[in-house]
Amino acid sequence: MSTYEAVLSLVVAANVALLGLVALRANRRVPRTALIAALAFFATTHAMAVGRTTGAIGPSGDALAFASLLIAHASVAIFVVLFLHGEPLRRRTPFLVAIGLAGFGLAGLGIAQGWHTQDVFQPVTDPGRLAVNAYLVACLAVALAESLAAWRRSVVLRRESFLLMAGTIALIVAGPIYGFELVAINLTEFLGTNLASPLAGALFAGALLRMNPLRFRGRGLEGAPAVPWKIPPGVYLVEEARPKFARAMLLAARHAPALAVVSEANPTPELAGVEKVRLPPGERCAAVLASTASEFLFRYPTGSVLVDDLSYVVAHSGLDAAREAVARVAEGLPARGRLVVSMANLTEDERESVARIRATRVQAPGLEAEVAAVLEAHLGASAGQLQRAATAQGKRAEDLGVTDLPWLRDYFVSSLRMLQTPADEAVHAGWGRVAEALAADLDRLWRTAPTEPRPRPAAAKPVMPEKPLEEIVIVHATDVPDLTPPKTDRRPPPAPLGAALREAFLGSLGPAGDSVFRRVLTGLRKEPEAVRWEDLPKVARLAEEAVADLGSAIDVDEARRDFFERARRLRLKLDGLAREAR
Amino acid sequence: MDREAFRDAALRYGLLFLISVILVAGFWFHAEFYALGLYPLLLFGGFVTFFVIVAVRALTTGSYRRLRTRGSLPFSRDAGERVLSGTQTLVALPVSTPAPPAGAVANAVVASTGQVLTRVRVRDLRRRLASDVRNEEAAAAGYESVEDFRRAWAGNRRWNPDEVVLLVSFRREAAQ
Repeated sequence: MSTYEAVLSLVVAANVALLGLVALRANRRVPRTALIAALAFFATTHAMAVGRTTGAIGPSGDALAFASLLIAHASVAIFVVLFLHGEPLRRRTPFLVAIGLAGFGLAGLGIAQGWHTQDVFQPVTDPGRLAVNAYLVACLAVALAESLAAWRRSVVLRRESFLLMAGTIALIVAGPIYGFELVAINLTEFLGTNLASPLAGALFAGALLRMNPLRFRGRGLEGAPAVPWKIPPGVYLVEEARPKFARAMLLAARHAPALAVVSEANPTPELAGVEKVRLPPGERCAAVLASTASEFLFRYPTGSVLVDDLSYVVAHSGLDAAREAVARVAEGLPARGRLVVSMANLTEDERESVARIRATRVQAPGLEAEVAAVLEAHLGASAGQLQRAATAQGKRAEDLGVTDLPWLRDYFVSSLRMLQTPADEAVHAGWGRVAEALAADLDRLWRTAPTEPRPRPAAAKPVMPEKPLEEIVIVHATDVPDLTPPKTDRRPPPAPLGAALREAFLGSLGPAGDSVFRRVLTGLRKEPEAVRWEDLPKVARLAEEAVADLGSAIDVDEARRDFFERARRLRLKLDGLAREAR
Repeated sequence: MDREAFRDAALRYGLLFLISVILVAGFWFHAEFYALGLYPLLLFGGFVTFFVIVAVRALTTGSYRRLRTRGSLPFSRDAGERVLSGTQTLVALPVSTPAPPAGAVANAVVASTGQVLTRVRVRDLRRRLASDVRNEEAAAAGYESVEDFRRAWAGNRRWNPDEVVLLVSFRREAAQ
């Protein structure tokens, strides 16, 4: 094997190796396809050159080499344009189609005319060959001009465009320039080849992999909590202290793939069930954001992308790069796609700067403040209530998200219902009205998207004149055993002894007291109104039996100890009633 | 000169000589081919030679990836001791503080005097509301607890839970 053949074989091997690398590692489908095409056609050209020097390939190989060289150059230009302008090309599509068609047309013409790759980049007067040379130079010029323009203008793609520019220059030097000069030193075997194609390919692949989108599967929101909002397609910049509404806006898009671009491994339980990709730290953070979001929306035009923490991109890549990254995605957003960007943790100036992007700016309300306002309107106190509810949920009040609203509604309503004691019978209706109004307001909050006018809590009505509302503390009855369970029936109040007994049972045993009391009544075969003072010894004995049965069913030692302590209190109360009878 | 140093020098200067020969050959060929005059050759050749020497120097000495510091991270004197001992790996800064990018090597300096303590490699930057700083972050920043962090962060000011802080995590570079 001569030196020429060895060099050309190395070029083929390097191009094929790069092709494999790009095929396996690069995730941007459209530019990847163009680069693979370029590398494959360059490899073919050089393989044909080896065949030509060894005499293994005849004229058909020359034709194939010629066509491959033309299409390889077209692929380079198309790759650079696709890489820099993203998947949504729109206005540039006709231009790219024209480049491709011209390449195929000239290749066909060249094959028909019997042109050779050795004639490429040589001084000619023949219009056809002149057109071929001009076309090849134009392809390289497009690649160079586009990458140079991006290098000057773009913040996000500065480094990548430099790599593209260097690769294109390598192709120019080893193509048109040395193609012209090689004749002077009689290295004609290399004519029609481009020995710098592996170097250029490596630089192009480096640019592609540096901006490689994060891997995603395109899952829907099957396991995620549902949010009952209708968010039209578009770009939304959500202003909020914490990314609660932005996350909920993603969760509202139920019937399409969704992707959350986050900055932490496990950002929040709110995004459980949502496919997440994590941004890399470093200066390429903005470039990866742009490529990942664009690629996702390109593959799933009806999908939704959430940028959970734009401040992370600002911290790593700078404000200009972050804004440009979002603008690139927004510019190429499909008609039915959604891009939701949370502007949490950005300064006011930064928000104003990002908001220059053509997008819907959403002033998200403070969720805690809104819930607190509802509680204030209906219960007359808010901060403590909300904090207690959040604690019951295992969170801080400020960490409560939109998806916690149904839980909060149920929590407060059930707490209100459990707050009644037998003495509150007269005001049952009042409690019911409070609970209903509170639930309705929380439900309105839950169902109102941040893009719609916010509901105001209904005006408070004086429902509990007997007790000052400021003194009421809402807690779950299970947390405070002295509270009685709700009474839903509307039977007439029991006779004094029956009521006193019931109060003693419920007051001592908590919610369990009700079932114990009913069992005692069953044992007595009497209604509460029919219980007499002389029944008290029997009541005490039946109560002991019921308590013993119930206590033996409790497995947890601590709970059993607590229960028997309550039973002791019940015993004391029954003794007190018996003394009273005497 | 020991044997290893001699070998390194021979390799380095041999490479430089080889590149010089290639450059001279290239200049001769192109000057002949394009019939360049003396002045264009001097200008073009000088530029190319300068560029190649700078590039080769950077490649052979590795200065392009050496620990050239980019910016600094300010610490209190107490925190400086923790940084030196490696027990502090995070610093909370006002959001307006210009911080070195992730991956860069920065000087850890005493804020009051500007004295350089050591060099640290920035690993990550993250913004958080002051009230959202977590226990583990407060511990990594040298505070005993989140409450301790809040007291220290507020200082003589009123505590503002909605203030955004910049958390810079870093790793101390090995001494040169």
